[in-house]
Formats: sequence, structure tokens, C-alpha cells
Amino acid sequence: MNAQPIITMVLAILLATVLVAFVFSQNETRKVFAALQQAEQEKTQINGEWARLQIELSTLVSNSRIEHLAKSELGMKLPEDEQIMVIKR
Amino acid sequence: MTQSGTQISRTQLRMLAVMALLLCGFAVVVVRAFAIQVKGKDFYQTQGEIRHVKEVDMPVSRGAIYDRNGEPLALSTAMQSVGIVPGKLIDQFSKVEQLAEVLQLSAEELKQIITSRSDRQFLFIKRRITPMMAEAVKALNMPGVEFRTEYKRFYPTGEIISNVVGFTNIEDQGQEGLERTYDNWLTGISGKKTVVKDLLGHAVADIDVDEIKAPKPGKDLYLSIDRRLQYAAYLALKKEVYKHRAKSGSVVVLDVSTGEVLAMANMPSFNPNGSKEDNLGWRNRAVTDIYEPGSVMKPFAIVAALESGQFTRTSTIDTSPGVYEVDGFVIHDFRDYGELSLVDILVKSSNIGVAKLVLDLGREHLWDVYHRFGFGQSTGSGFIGESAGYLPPHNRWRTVDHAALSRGYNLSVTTLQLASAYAVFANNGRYRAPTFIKNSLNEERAIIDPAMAASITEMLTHVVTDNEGHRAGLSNYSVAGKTGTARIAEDGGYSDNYMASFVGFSPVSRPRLVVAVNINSPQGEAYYGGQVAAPLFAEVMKTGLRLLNVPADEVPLTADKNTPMKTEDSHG
Repeated sequence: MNAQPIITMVLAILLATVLVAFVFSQNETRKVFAALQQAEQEKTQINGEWARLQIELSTLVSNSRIEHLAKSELGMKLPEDEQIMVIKR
Repeated sequence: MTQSGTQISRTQLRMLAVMALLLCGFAVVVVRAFAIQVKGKDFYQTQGEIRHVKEVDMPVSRGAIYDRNGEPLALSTAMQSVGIVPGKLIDQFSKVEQLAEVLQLSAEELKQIITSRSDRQFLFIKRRITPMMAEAVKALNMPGVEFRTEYKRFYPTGEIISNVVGFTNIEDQGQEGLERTYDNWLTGISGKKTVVKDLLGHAVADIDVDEIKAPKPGKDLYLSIDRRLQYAAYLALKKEVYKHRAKSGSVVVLDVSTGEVLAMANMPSFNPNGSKEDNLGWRNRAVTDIYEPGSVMKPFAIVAALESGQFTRTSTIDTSPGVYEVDGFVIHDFRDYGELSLVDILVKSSNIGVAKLVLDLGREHLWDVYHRFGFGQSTGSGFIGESAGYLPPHNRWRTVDHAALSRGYNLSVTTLQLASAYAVFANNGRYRAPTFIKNSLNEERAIIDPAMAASITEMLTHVVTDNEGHRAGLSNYSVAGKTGTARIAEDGGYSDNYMASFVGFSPVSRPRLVVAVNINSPQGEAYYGGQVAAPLFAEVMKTGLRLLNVPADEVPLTADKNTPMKTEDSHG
């Protein structure tokens, strides 16, 4: 006969625990989601930077620039036909 | 009794007190509810809107385009675009002025847009702004101003390959060239997701990412183009076009065995990163423009002659006296060459020689040979806007047409078609449609006997070696090829403008590259294919063989080499 209040008590405690757990998990979700958002934003940013760096690189290694540098700064030139000797094995 | 009476009234009193308290509480709730529902309506409604669930776009980038070695030819970078929600700005004109200043827009126009389109949810006001400008706009911290990520296309190689790669429009859709041809492959599908947003507009939770709406980024495209060779070809072409003050010009470099387009350059060109006002340079002329090729067609007429069995390599044709009349139409040679063997017909590029050869053959046979080599049909490269050229049906040929077709008139071709057709001689008689995509080869099919291909290749080698100082010749490498100089048809007749061309391949012992060049309407003294196109061919071929490390096959035995005399005996 005395079991009923005990069951009620247990259920009440259980309910309270579940509610707290729900709030806790909801909060965790938000936190994790915020972190995910940030990571995604970072990814976009890094991708953007990668593309920019690729463009920068391709400008730096552009054939016209290399050719110009080789000729003007390093004093290089293409060999004349007479200067080429083919060695046959 | 009295005791119980007081007890009752005490209980009643307690009840009354509780009731009063509850009523007070109710009153508070009612007043508060009234305050929220009626007085605070606007405030709470907007607050709710800010918090409400929203669908946000997940933009994706367009695939990049690379050359065969992974060098970028077209890249997309994320940029911020600014848009407004007009309704939220309608009563903030002082801030709008600041915004207009930062974005370098007219404040008046912006205000007008806001008032006239106040019902719109979102309006772009400036797209793809610099990161610095985006920071400045963010610093204004204006509600009603939103950012969207959009992608800007950038072409690191600029004008060097612009008319082949093409470009995209402001909506990031391919508009010309390979950007348009492979638009579906390159375009990504932007996704959508539903999120709960907080006061500051940050997403705090996503409700569900629908599988169907998941973003699919565009796929990258690897072209068969070799950027180094492309650069060399474009520069050489540009130099040649300027030198001869020509209208236009094209260079095509194909890999003999795979049919891959290693380089394709056209003049005039344009800067794909700049404003595209002048569309003169947009066309990929090597694929879209057709012309009467002239003498470069003669090897195909020789194929027809040899296939018929009526002639052999050493058969002779009398071309005296250098003038020959066909149905009232006079065909000229450069001079009277007398008796010529088939080889010499090619070497001297005798118009009379080929005319006499083909007039002895059936029309259908010559048509069939040209048709087999792909003339009058699209090459199958898949390039958007590719022209098929024109080869008239043989049952409509008059004798004059028959003779004209033998020397490359009365039909029209593209430079790419010529390159592909010559590749057949270099590739043991097998035709392979050209491709722009790395590792995506088209089916090969035998169209002439390998012995025939070898025989024509040998003849074409003589064209370069027997004309002393031929400008298509290379040191250390053997070259086979043919010049062409064709009058350009204009207004129903032939003008004084010429199409100078050269098509050939090297090294002959084991061909690696086919190069086809043409120069349209050179304005200087020189206009023959041998003078204008052959040097360009040699320059491009030489660079190509060097870049691809192709071993030399014609090494002179002695170390001292006398540069051959440059003479002008070669011509169309």
C-alpha cells in the first residue's frame, strides 16, 4: 500500500533527470553545431585562400615572367642551332 | 459552537486570502499579456522574425580547368556579394548613404531602388567585391544588408588560350569555348539547408540537411593542352601575325598517336579577366572558321591517284607549258616545270600536275578520299561551335570543280581538320578524332593502307628537303609537310588576299607532333605559305619537340654544319 508514493517519487526524480538531460544535450548540440559552423566557415576561408594562392603561384610561374627573368636577370638564352650537338648512343 | 464557528470563519478567511493572491497573480498575467500582445506587438514580431527558421543556400564552386600537367587555366575564388532587404532599409537613409559611399555606388540611385522595390526580399547591389570592401561593409553593421558567397572565375593564362578555354558570364555559366562545351561537368549544384537562426543571424541548429539538397561541387577538368607549348605557340603566332600585318591566324598542335590537342592558339585573342567589350577575339578560329585551304590538299589528291592503281610514285605527268585549260578555265603553274613525277608534283606544288592526275580518276573516288580524311564533317572533337567545313557532293561537280578540288579550292576546311587529316599519314593510315580532354581518346580507324601512308610521308619529306632552304626545315629533325597559298574568296570572286598555311609533322622516323598553321591575309610583300606559314611551323615544331624531349632522328655526321642558303623557291 505504501509503494505508490515511492513510485511517484521515483518517477518524479526520473522525470526531472530526463528533463535536465534533455536541456543538457540540447545545449551540447548547439555548442557542437556552433563549432561545426565555425569549422565550415574556416574551411571556406581556407579554400578561398588556397584558390588565391594558386592564382598567385600561377602568376609567379607564368611563362612570360620566367622567360623575362631568365633572360634579363640570369642572362640565359636559347641555344642557336649551331650550338646544339646531338649525341647518339 | 463558537469555537467551531471561529474555526470555519478562519478557514474561510484563509481561502479568501489565497483567492485574492491568485486573482492578483491573474491580474499580473493579464496585464502582462496585454502589454505583450497589444502594446509590444511590433517589437516581438520582429524579434520572432529574426529568430525564425530559415533556408540558407550552400554555394558551391565551379570546377577548375587545368592543363595536362595540372597547371591551372581557370580557377574559381570565393568572393562576397552584397545584397539588401529593401524593406529593412526604407527608414535608414542616413546609413544607406554610408553604404553607398563604401560600395562606390550612387546614393540617390540606391535610395530610389530601396523605395521602388521595397517589397522585394533580397536584391544584389554589388557583386563580387574585394575582401577589403567586404570588411568595410561589415563594419557598418547594418541590419538589412546581407552577404552571399559567390565565385569569381579567374584565368591565370590570360589571352594565351582564352578563345579555347572560353569564359563564364556573371551567373557563373559557361558562355564560350570549353567553359560552355563542358558546362554541365564544371557546374556544381548548390545545396540548401534549413537552420534555426539566433538574434545575430548565426545559425544555431540545423533542422535537417535534405539529401537531395546536398551541395555537389563542380568537377575539375583536365585538358590535353600543354601550357608551355601553348604559350610558345601563341607567342610565335602573335609575332608572325604582327610581322606580316595579317588579319588573323591559327596554330594547332596535335599528338600524332593520341589525337590530343596539345596547343591551339588563335589571333586575335582577348583578355578573359578584363571587360569583354570587343568580341573580335572570342572565336576559336582553328575550329570555327573555314577557308579554302589551297595546296595543302594536294597530298590527298595524290592518295586518290595512287589508290586508283593508274599511277605509281614514279609515274610522270607532262605539265608543259605551265598553262593548262580545263573547260575554258586556265590553270597556271608558277613556271613551266616540264615532266614531273608524282613526288615532284608535290615538291613543286604543280597545279597542272594534280589537275591532270585527278581528271583521269572518277569524281566519286576523289570525293571518297577527301571524305575519308574527314573533310566536310565535324572532327568529333566536341568543341561547341565547331564547323564541319564544306565538301560539295561529287554528283554536282563540273570538270572545272573537279580540277579545282585537286588543288584545294571549292571546298572549305578548318585548321583542326587539316591537322587531323595529316595526322593520318603520321599515324600509319589511321584516323583518330582530336580531343581536348586528357586521357579521353577517341576511337581509331584505319582509312588508308599503312604502306600508302608511308609513301605519302616519304613524298612530304621531299617537299621540305628538295626545296633548298625550305623554311619548315629543322636541324636534327626530319620534317614532312606541305605549304598552301590560297586566294581568299570575297564577294563572289577571288580577292588579292591570301591564306598562307603549312601543315606537317616530325620527326618522320617516328612522328610525335602534327602542327597546322595558317595566316589569314598577310599584308606585306610576303604571302606564300612557304614564306609566312613555314617559319611559324618550324618555330612551333622546334619548341614542341624540345619541350616533349623527342629524340632527334636526323643527326648530321659531321660536327660543322653550314647553315643552308635561304632561298624563296618554295611556294604554294
